[in-house]
Amino acid sequence: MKRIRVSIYAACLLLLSGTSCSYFEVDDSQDPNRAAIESIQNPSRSQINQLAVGVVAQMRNAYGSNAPYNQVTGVLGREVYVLATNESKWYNDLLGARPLDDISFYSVGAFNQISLARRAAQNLQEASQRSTFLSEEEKKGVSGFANTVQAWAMLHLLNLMGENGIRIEYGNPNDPRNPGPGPFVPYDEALAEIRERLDLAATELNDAGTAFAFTLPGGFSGFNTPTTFRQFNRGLTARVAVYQEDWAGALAALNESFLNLNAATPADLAVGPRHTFGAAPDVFNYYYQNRNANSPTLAFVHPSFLANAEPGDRRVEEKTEPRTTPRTLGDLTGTHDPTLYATNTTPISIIRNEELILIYAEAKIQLGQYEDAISALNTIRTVAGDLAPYAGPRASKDALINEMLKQRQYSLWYEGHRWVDMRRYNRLNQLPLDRTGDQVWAQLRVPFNETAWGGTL
Amino acid sequence: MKKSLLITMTALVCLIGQAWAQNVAVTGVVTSAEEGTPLPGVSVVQKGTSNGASTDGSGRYTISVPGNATLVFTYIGMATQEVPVGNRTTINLAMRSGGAQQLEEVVVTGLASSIKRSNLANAVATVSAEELVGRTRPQTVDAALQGKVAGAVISQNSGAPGGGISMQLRGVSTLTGASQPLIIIDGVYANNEQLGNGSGSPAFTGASSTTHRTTQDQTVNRLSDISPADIETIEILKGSSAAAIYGARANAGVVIITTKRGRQGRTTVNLAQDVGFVTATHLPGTSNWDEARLQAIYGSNPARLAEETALWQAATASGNLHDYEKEVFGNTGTVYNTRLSVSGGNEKTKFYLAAARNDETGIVKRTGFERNSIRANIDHQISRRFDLSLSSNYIRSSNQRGFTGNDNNGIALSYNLAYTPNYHQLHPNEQGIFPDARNTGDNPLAIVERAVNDEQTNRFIQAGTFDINLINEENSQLRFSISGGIDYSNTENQLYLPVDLQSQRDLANPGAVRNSRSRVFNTNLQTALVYNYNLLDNRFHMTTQVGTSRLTNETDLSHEQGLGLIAEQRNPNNAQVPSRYQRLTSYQDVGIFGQQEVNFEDKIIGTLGIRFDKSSLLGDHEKFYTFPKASLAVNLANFGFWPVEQINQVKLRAAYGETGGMPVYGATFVSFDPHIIGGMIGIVPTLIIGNEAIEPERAQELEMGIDLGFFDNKLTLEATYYNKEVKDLIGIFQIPNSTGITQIEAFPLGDLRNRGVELSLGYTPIQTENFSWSGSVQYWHNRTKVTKINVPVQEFRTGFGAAYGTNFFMLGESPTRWYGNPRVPEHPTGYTRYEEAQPDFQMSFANTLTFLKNFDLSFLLHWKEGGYISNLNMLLRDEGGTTHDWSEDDNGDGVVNGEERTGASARYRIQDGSYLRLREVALYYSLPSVVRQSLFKGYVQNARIGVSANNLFTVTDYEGFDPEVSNFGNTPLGAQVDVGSFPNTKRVFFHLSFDF
Repeated sequence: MKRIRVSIYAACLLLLSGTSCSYFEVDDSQDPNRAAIESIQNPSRSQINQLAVGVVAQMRNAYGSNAPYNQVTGVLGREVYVLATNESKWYNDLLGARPLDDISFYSVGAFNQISLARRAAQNLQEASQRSTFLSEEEKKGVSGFANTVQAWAMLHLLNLMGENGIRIEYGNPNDPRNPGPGPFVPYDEALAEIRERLDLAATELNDAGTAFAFTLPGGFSGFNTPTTFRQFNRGLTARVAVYQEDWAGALAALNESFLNLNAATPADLAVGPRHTFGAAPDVFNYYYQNRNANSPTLAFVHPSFLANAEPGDRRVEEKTEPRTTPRTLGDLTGTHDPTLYATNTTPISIIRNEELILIYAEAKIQLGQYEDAISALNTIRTVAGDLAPYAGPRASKDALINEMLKQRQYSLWYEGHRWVDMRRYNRLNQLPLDRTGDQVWAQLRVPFNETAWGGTL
Repeated sequence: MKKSLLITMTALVCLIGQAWAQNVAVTGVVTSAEEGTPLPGVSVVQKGTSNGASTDGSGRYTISVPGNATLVFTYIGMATQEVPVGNRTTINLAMRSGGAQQLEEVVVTGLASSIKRSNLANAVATVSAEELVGRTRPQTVDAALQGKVAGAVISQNSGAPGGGISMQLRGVSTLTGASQPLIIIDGVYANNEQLGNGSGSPAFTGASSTTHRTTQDQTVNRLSDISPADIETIEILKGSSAAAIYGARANAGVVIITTKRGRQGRTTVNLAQDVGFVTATHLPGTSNWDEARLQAIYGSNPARLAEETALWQAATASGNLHDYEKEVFGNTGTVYNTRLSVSGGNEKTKFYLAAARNDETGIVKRTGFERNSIRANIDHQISRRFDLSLSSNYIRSSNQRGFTGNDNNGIALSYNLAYTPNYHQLHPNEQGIFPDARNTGDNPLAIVERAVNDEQTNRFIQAGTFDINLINEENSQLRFSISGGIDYSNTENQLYLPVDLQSQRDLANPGAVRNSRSRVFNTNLQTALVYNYNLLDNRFHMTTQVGTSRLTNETDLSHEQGLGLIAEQRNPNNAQVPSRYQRLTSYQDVGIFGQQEVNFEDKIIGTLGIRFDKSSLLGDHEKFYTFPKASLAVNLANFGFWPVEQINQVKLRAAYGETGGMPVYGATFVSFDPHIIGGMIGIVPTLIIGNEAIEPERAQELEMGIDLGFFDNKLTLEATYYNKEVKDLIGIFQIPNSTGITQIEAFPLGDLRNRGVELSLGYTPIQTENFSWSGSVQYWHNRTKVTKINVPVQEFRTGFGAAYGTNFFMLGESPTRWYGNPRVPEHPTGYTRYEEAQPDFQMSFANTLTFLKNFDLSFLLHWKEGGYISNLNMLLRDEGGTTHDWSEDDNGDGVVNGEERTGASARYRIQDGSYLRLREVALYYSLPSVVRQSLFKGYVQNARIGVSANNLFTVTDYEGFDPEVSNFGNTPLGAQVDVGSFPNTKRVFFHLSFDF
């Protein structure tokens, strides 16, 4: 028995010697190839900075994707055609020749990227709250910035969804199952929520001191401190206010924005935050296309933009160029290239003084203060369009609304406004139809994954 | 955990019953009854015990047993014999070849123990060296298993040199990743990854939009590195009930490969040479054009129609019509295989040394496969207590596969040949300049000649086992075993498209090169205590084992790419746009296992086992998951009451076991991607996120069967039914986009069930000196059905969409069933339901005939019924006007095939992949000793010559190169998609083999 006992001891010893501590350990893995969520448990100042830059980068990506926002809204609002040789949905589904579906690229392309921009902002906001490296003031600054971007993203989603509404609660940005996203709310309620978020952001920015804890990319030059960023926030708020038909609120917001009614040059009109572009590793402007290009997916100027223009409108001259070889697809012919962006590094404007002046004009018309409105519209006509001042009836609200919408069409062409403007004035039926059987959609369908989750009104 | 282990072991070791009897030393010589030659390595065991010996090189053995004992002689390929000792001291024996089912062979079932097949409660498939490569020479180990394993769907993804094979055991067990069985070579958890090289990325064929490695790269899986000639046996644990002791990695089954080892006795040297020829199994061919076809293909563009008509007329008039498919794929490749092995040893040290070289050229010019392998397997008995064995294998393998598969850039051969009419002129001029292709992005002949897709792998596999025999008594043996291994492989690829190729010239940055490296390092270490002891007068034989295991993996996938090259320069540094990529992965698994076997006189054999596993791949890396198993086998014929002498075996068996499946690496990660804006770097969350709470998916399998043996196993039948339920299948979950997340990479989607039947009939009807015949028939089928769904109906984004066939995760259906256009709004998927991608059933027929003493004729016929394929190949050809039957009208409706089949319905693409294939056929002649003596004197012990063939003929209705195909490689879903595949090949060999 003694030998057996010795053997038992030896056996146990051997078994356990093979099992030193590290033998039984496995890693608590973190992503070695990308920045891991675990690494921002208590984000440092440089991490906050990178998250904030990421938010801007993703805001910019929201204009990209395989269904760029300005192209989808541009086709729906008859500002452009997209004649894609390998994708007829651009000119069949979106122009109403065939029903819209809820899973195609146009249903989710921009929708996904805009939603990701919102999540990036939410994530930054929550990360900053956990950080022990930021002062309370700086946290306010992050929150004001993030809430502004979230409101911006929600507004763009709502523009696509229209009366379908949007969700306004999204749950944990990194684990949507717990708690899950909230229900869809109708258009008006969603607008109110967006407005509230912008107002909250404005309050936070008021309490955010003199500088952000992060550096914004160059496109935000002039809007990169809590005070100046707040002017951008107020500009957006004015846009939301006119959507809400809160005319006084719009003027109040404009008052605190970067509105400059005395613009004398196109440069004065162009003031506002922008997204910049560049060569790799940066990206090129998503909407830039070579003149007379022949690549598969190309945008073309909608003929109505050319036909309805006042002679000599500089905006038409600047934003369009005739092609040497038109493209015909699906009985539609694109004769002009959009040249809104002169080069592949031309920035995209997020909101600019030109729009603020138009918002001012709109609010003034609605409040019956027509002369103020006419003066603002004339600034646009002369400075932006190189046109003669307004010569129509000066006391007709309808005439002035028409004029305002037309100036918006030409000033903000192919930037996502026309379709939304015509929708909020119930004028979608005034948009031109190109072919028999076409129709104008009032909104996109709610994406399949949203409805599958049980999320429609 | 450690403490309870200790207590268990102490208790087990103390349970010792001892018995004792008067021993006699028995010696003898074992020979082959057919050839009269000594048989080395025959196992001689005292019946009912583990007391045993084996014969040396001259067939001699010595064993000490009680005078009333019975000796059991077993040898792979021979019928087992039992001989009562009857107090004799010399027992000589001549053994005969056995039937197809080797019931007495030993099967590995625990992690450190084995069991006689006759006592096994599972249907474990064992493939011997003879069955694996004894007939002919498939390219790779997995190819050599085709048609030989009931319950397995083994399919070639691509016919390109070097293979690329997927193996699915007992149906679909997982939905993501490669889902291949665990491959264990001599105890090493071997790398069988199918790592891409980027040939499908936008810079090359553009098959995928992924810029690094894609699922459409058409690469080999790494089992192709292993030289089939080194393999002694392959055991396949097909389901969870057999594989449970392997725990959380065993959902897809386990393939245990054991290589050859030396045996005591005379040193034998084997030298063998094969010369073979490779041709395509089937080339559908093309057909001549006419005006109607020109009108149909080019009619929408009158100017183009006029041009093409002129070209067609000119080419037809001058006889310049070319079968480009035949020019590209119609060549004959050559194969040279050379093998040298030296094995032998003495009482203490045994060795097996082998070197093998396989060198073959493909059916496409400038393609080929080469494998150089050296192996040293050493076993050494340090003392009575200590045993050491080492297995070392170094491999250098390389392949040149060319570009095939899906394509968007005009690079892949078959894809672009489909659009090339036979009247177009693609041949180079006198200066060697290739004309531009008119219909495709590049000229396929230029791609053959000038594009490069080369791979080279250096791989080292080292296994080692150290055994300590702590107790070595008559009736109790306690062994402590440490085994481990490493598998290190480094694969380097080069992809190159020269700057002046047609497809490159008009690019902003013409010319593309990519040098990639895949470094994979696996380690495993296992400790086990195995205790064999007898209880109650030796009537109960017990085997107890406990142990631990640890696996690690590190992978580094990286590349440098250059776009915009200097002419003739392949260094990415010198490119206009250099870029690089790196992906690192690393994971560890830890397991603890225990198993108890109880054997009551070979009559009733029961096993209980349990395994605990944790892994860094899971959400909770500290949590152990439990995988139990239990099995029972009852050998009715071994009971005294068994009345029928002709039926020598009646075994009823049942086994239950659970295994796990892991999420893919990174499925727990929630991370940020870098984005650059205005010279600043930012981080952005990703649309697809991991799941920090993911748990392993779990398969629970109940297997039941009956094994019958008639007339001393001259006729055997093994029948098995299994029911494998996979719970919490991990899959991609699509969630509301407005959250900013589109997919959760790993989510428990639901449950599915695989049920199937496996039948094996073995027979040895005739066994005389001049003629013997043995064979087997196998039948198997599997049915898969989703039994629970935790999420809304999910479309797997497999294949190429609804026009071609796609798969859904839906209650009551198989996840591999095809769906597609036309739309059916009332169906939950919204689409028409088509057939299953999994076969209805498979059968194989193997027969070996030995005649005129020295001739062996054998063949293996493999029948797969059903198994539908999404065939885009035919669509491409119909669109290009190049199908061989384009102008015919099969259904007589007045619309020619070529126009009809390009219709929107997926019906035209989802096609039956049934086939009947002569997998293997061989005829060998062993030189009679008289001839041998006169030719080689006494230097040659054995000499064989032979001729064989692999895939010699195939009967199929499938309209493509071959019904064995997978554009997406080793994927469990959407595998059977045929788009621009590389044709499969048949191979004919001449063999020569000498034993010295």
